[in-house]
Amino acid sequence: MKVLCFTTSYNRPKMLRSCIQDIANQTYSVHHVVNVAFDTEKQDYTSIIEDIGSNLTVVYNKNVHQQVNHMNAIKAVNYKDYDLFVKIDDDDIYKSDYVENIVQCFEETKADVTSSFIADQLNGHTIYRGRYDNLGNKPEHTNFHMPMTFAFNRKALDLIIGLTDFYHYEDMMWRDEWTKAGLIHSTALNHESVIWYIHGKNISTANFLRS
Amino acid sequence: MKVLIYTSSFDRPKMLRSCIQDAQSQTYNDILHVINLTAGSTNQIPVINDLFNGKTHIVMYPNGHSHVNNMNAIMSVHNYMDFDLFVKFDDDDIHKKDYVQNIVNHFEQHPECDVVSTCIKHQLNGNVVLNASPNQFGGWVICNDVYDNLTGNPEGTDYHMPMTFAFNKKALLSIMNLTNLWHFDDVLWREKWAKDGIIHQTVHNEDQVIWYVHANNISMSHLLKT
Repeated sequence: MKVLCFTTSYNRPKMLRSCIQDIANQTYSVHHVVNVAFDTEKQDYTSIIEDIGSNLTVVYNKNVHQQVNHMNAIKAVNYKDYDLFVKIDDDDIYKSDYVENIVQCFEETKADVTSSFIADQLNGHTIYRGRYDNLGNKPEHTNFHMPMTFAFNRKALDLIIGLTDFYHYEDMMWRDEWTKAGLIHSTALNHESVIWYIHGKNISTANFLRS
Repeated sequence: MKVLIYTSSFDRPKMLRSCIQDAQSQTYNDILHVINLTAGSTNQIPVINDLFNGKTHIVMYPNGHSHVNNMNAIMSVHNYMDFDLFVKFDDDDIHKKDYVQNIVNHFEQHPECDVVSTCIKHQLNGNVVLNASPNQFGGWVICNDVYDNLTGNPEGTDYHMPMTFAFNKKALLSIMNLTNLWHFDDVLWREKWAKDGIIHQTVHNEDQVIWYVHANNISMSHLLKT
């Protein structure tokens, strides 16, 4: 399966460097496309990331709704060449077998979409072991897990690529569309291969604290 | 040349992960990276355990003076005297892939040299990259400051940024038994090296290292460091 990992990144260049390294270290070979989003003035992060990454495409676009930012990443490459699309958040930790586990899940199930719960949260510098399952209510009869673990096929992508009503975070919109269309969701057992990072630049942190 | 990269890390697991990745991405291959996870820090192993590949060596000692933390890292490697060069990697800065190669090249071309350091041309301040250009005095100017050294040099010496120190066995032997820990490690080392006639030179690594300024810097108040 041809895999496209996609990332949108805003004002977190140090974390982005580590994110690119995480994906370059995957045991399953992927292409990684990164959309660096900026406000009025383009922040050029070339000097931070020019020496790393393999099979990497980096584009810069104006920061808009997360849905648009993500689709700007995917559309920056010839996405129709790929079988699977794996959401990679720029701040979380993805261990080296993360993508391989997803590919295995798609191969073994008839899933259109996979997600995973998370076993470790890194809060500042402290690890909290637990079961972090989802970040919002789930559509009825569905079992989507943590949004930073979403992966999906072309059928699922086609359902969300043209969304224009941005009534919520992108993952909430995606879950609604996929549920409405009756897509099959499976759980990828990636809970030991991803760490949720809580820090001063989380999207839920006030802007004045994020500089 | 056999290179021992050493890092002392306290409560910065996410940055340490990136530091290990930087060391593993070096174009120069004959490297062992030893990391002293100074105890008192929480169990950080789950954040880095997928990166262990036989070239990364983790030890844990109680957190002490920065000189002791660094020496504990180096001396925990049972055959550390078999290494030719000792390269300091701070856990929070960015080291690009040719960083070690450039140091090795310099030592090979200048056998008289014992210690190298470099100026820094790029500072990542939060999320903004500040690039420097050479000034008329040969230093680098960023926002009207020169990022050349942080605390002044002993007379007649020209050491640059402390996170860029790399040295040979002779220089290591000069500092390894220091007991009067009256200042930061790099200040102690420079004083001792100057006294012992150790030869310092400049390596041109200014495009291979980025100084990261952030809320967990050692100079920040503890109130701000969570």
